[in-house]
Amino acid sequence: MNALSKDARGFVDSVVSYLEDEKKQGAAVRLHSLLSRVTSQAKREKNARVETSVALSVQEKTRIERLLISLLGHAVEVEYSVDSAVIAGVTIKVADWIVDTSFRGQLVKMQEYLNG
Amino acid sequence: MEQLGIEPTLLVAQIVNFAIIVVVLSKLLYKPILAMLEKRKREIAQGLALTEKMRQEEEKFKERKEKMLLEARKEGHEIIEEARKQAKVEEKEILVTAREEASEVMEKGKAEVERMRAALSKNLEAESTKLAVTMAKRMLVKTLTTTDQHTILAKHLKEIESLGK
Repeated sequence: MNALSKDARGFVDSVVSYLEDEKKQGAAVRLHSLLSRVTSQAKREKNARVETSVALSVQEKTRIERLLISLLGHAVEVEYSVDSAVIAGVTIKVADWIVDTSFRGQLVKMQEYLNG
Repeated sequence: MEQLGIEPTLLVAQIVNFAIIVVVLSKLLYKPILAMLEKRKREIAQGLALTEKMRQEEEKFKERKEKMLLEARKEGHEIIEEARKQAKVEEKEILVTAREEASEVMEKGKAEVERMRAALSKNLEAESTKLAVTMAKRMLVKTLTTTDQHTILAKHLKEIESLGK
């Protein structure tokens, strides 16, 4: 059982490493592209939704709210939700603008890429 | 003459009687018989001529019949030969068409098999990918600790912050 657990950990570390590898995933480029396309509708929006796999601490929430102020130029009401399906990372939705760094999203993209 | 027992008068009378009988018979019997014989001769000649004519006609008929039979046989042979040739040509055409159709069916079958194989392969790849991703998801969900998730989140937020500046 311990051996299996060790193998599973190794596998998970590999997957995390793969998903986190910016060169392979182009995550930075994708994020930059998303950030540079903050829509005008999002800039007028007063509400945001943040979805994570674990409950966020106060510091994390503050960090996200500051980040949104710097991106949108004004404060927004943030609605937090926790969904284990996110696996890891965060999904931020403001109107029609979405930043998705979740492993769920990356796995979906990886599946789409592998299926051609 | 008398010494010989011949009566001249009687002889003359007999000669006269004989002459009369000859004349009478000639007039009344000999001519009709000759005429009848002549008529009979003509009839026989006509009959013979008719028989000869009929024989000739029969010969001609036989010749025509033979000729017609020969022509009919020849024509029959020609028809049979032509039919054989036509049958051979049709047989060849049918064989060629059958081979072409069989080849077409084979090609279609091969293409269909190839299409099915490709579709199956694609489906298998998709299913394998789906299975691998599902497995990865489950493994990640089960294995990643809360600390791991906060670490990853912090890293992502840092990336977003650096790119948003």
